[in-house]
Amino acid sequence: MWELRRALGAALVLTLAAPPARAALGEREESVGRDRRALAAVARGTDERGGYRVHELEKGATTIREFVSADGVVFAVTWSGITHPDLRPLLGAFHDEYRAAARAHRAEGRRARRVAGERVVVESWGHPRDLHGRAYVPALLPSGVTVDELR
Amino acid sequence: MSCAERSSLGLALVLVLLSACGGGGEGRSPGTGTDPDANVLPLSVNGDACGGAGGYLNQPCVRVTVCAPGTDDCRTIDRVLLDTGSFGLRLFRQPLEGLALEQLPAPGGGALASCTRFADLSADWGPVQLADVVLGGEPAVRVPIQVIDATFGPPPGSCPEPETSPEEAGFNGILGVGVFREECGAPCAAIADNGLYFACDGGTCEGTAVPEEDQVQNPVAHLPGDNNGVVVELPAVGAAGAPSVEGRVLLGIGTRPNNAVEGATALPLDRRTATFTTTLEGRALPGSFLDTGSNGLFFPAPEARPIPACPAPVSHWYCPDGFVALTAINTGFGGGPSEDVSFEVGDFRALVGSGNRVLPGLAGGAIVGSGFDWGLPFFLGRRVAVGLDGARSALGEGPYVAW
Repeated sequence: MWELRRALGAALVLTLAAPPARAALGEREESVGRDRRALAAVARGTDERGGYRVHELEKGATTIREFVSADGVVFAVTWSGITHPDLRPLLGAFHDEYRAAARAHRAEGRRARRVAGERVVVESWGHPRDLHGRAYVPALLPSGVTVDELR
Repeated sequence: MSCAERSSLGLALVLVLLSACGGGGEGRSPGTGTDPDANVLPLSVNGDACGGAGGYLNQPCVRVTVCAPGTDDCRTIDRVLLDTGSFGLRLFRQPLEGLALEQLPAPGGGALASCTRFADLSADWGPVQLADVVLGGEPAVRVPIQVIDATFGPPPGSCPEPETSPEEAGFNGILGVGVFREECGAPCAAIADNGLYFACDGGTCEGTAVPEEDQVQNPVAHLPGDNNGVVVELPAVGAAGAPSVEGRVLLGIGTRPNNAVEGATALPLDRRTATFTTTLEGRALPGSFLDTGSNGLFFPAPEARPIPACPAPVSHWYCPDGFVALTAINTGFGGGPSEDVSFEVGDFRALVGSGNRVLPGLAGGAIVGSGFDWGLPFFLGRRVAVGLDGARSALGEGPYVAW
């Protein structure tokens, strides 16, 4: 039993050491599938909303939505659930920019937060058991799409 | 060691202390059950229980005593953030140094650990351990707590950059006394990949389901008598603010003369998210909540009355010219009852420039769709009851908030 656990642990380490899945945000629609695998999430289908498509994923008890423009680029990601998801596969190439901006403006207290890098915006809110957030690249928003409709 | 210090020790020594110290009477006499104010937990905003410099604006602090289970080895820790927006006690490893708490095993083997995330995407990570927890003069309760320790595990990649020290966080721990009995509830009991609980073994931590009773517990729910919620009581502060204020957390709601709630209106909350709806200038904001752990009021300004944000790098605060007076309506989940709340938003720069640390006018923006976060300023000048899920009081059955 313990040997099996160790073997599984070693396999997990090897998996994690493999090159990371490519980003969803700013990437082509196909990257949604890579995100799903990287997060070990379950696909919950897609929703057509005039001008863009929304892919819904379920990770544990957290729902993730990826917003894809008509020309097939992921321009936003939102989430909602008992905790925040791992943002690395969801932000991909934008993750380092987000982390740098977050470190530069560490806010005190425990509350909603907006972190704006040069290209990416990450907003988060709620409280434990009911946490939410969204990340988007303003330059990639399709014309006519407002940030408020990204839910 | 004085009698006052000794009387803060765990349940095991109570009888000895009763004979040695003549029954205590210092307001911290665990287990005596005779003190009418045994349910009082002193609360400071930037004051006594915050233990000096290093905190932040509008920071509500309490002292909590934790003991190694069944022993008289205890630590009384100050600057513990009182948080009605989270559930359970978490304390940094550093102030607990040398205290032998009891590691909880994960259901499938290994050591149980927890990753707690907050609205700002920050994370607290560490092992889940059993401790005897003493609140005010109440008897000790033996509950799982989180020991915040970024070196444990190591933390999984999904628990990014967990906080490493009290200095970094601005507090020694968080006492989550919100409406739920445990940190996560049913989803974490049913789903291994819940993102909160992990089994750590041989240098790796993997997701695990955890029965609700083994999750980090809200200690208030485990008190023998005063266990249906808390009443948070803080004095009113003028618009210019104050250096510090002292108030009280009363354990229990309507269980003693000191925590009576006559005249309060209870707003029922969504049983999943602990939220209600705030309506501000005609715009409904579902997902709203009362949260002592937020150090300001955070809400989207009304479209008809925009409030300017401060210049960077403090653009998360509002900087109106003078004060802006607003009235919102808070409505219980399910449609009622409703209560009006009037409040004033001040200019962050002017408020902070005064040198005061308790500031009722501190407020900042939020996105539409995030709800209204009624942080610490809401609690100034009020007695606010936070009723536990499924527990009854004169105000009805929780979860509710009332004032």
